[in-house]
This record gives sequence, structure tokens and C-alpha cells, in this order.
Amino acid sequence: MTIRSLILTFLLLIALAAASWIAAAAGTGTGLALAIAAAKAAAIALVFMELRHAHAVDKVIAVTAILFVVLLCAGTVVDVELR
Amino acid sequence: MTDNDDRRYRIAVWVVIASEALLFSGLFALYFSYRAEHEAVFAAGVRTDIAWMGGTNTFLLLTSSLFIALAIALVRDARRGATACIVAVLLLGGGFLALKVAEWSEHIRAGIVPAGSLFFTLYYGMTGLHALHVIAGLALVAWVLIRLRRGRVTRERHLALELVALYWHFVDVVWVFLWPMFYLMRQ
Repeated sequence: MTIRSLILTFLLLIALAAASWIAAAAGTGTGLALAIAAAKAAAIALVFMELRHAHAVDKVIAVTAILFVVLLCAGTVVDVELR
Repeated sequence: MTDNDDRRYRIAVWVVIASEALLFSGLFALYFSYRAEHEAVFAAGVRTDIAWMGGTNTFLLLTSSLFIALAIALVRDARRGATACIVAVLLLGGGFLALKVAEWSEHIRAGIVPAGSLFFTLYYGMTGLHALHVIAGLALVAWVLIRLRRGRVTRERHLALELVALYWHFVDVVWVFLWPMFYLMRQ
């Protein structure tokens, strides 16, 4: 990873953090706050953690973990909402 | 160490990260299910939290992630500056913990204790668990700094730095979600 791409990713993360702050001040809902957080997490994972260029086995482990995190959280919330 | 050993260590760290992600996901599920049932309590809790401290801590962790990634890039290019980057990570991580302690102290002085409400039980539990991960990460970063100073992290051999960085970035990713959950979602 080049130093230039690392600094550009950092600037993107700061811009997204500012967007989170502005969205919260504007009173937007939890959906947007979590979507911005997911965008930040994706930038960190793909560039800083180098998942983009990682070995296929590492990618499988990471994607499986993300999938199960989303399934567990979504399943629990849907269960509560539909009671 | 052979390339096969490198692969084994890398897979082991990814498995640790995946396991940690599942540990935190249980707590995230708990947070969102309670939030769905007690929307007003959670919104009021977020408004009580000290927003500037959460925001500053986000900046500190994101910056520390940049510095540890820069350290890897510098080592790979055999350029100077990696040690300074690792020291910066330690200072930024230490700053994060200091601010977290100040925030908790402020809350406790104001009578906001872990068993005070559903929101604050989760707030202390989740940010506390995350802080433990920051402490573990800082210990690993300090270990890498010692290796770096002893010349045991080189352009040819720097797996330890890469694996510690993976863990440190994961700690950052968890905070990226905790920040809106406890400081921003006021509605």
C-alpha cells in the first residue's frame, strides 16, 4: 500500500466522521449513522487491513465473520420488532 | 520462519479477529434489541454522553490506524520513520484511554453508574470491553516497538508488525460502530 493511498484513506475517514457528526446534529436516524459507520469500517478493512489484496483464505474468514455479525444483529432486532 | 509459517500466523490472527467480532456482535444485538424496546431511554442516554470526548477519541483512533499503516509502508520500503510512527500509535492509544477514564470519572461524579439504566449498563460494558482491547493492543504495539528498536523488524521480516497492525485496526473498526451508538444516535 502506498503512503499516498493511506493518507487519502485517512482523509476519507475523517470526512466520513464529519458526515456522522453533521448527520447526528441534523437529527437523522440510526440507519444513516450505521451506514456511515459501515463505510468507515469498509475503508479500514480494505485499505489499512489490506483485505483488498489479502489471501483468499483471509478473505473467506473475514467475509464469514461479517456475514454472521450482520445475521445475528439483524435476526435479533427483527425478532424484537415483530413481537 | 517459512512462508507456510507466515500463512499459519496470518490465518490465526484473522480467526482471532473473527471470534472477537462475534463476541462484540452479541453485545451489538443486545444493544439494538433493547434500543428497539426502550427508544426514549437510549436517546436520552446518548444525549447525556459527552459528545466531544467521543468525537476526539474517534479522531485519536483513526489517526493511530493511519500511523501503524504508515509504519508498515515505511518498513517495506526500508525507509526511516517507522519507530516514530509506532511511538505515535502508543501516544494516541494512551490518549484514547486517558480520555475514556476522564469521561467515566465525569459520569460517576454525576451519579451515572453502570447499573443506572439499561443504556448505561451497556455503555460501561461495551466501552469497557473495548478499552480492554485497546490496552491489549497497546501492549502488542509496545512489543513491536521493542522488536523494531532491536532491529528485529526489517524489510525482509516484518510479519509481527503486520499482525499487530491487523489487530489494532480491528479495535478501531469496533470503535467506529460504538461511537454513533453511544454518542451520536440522539433521536
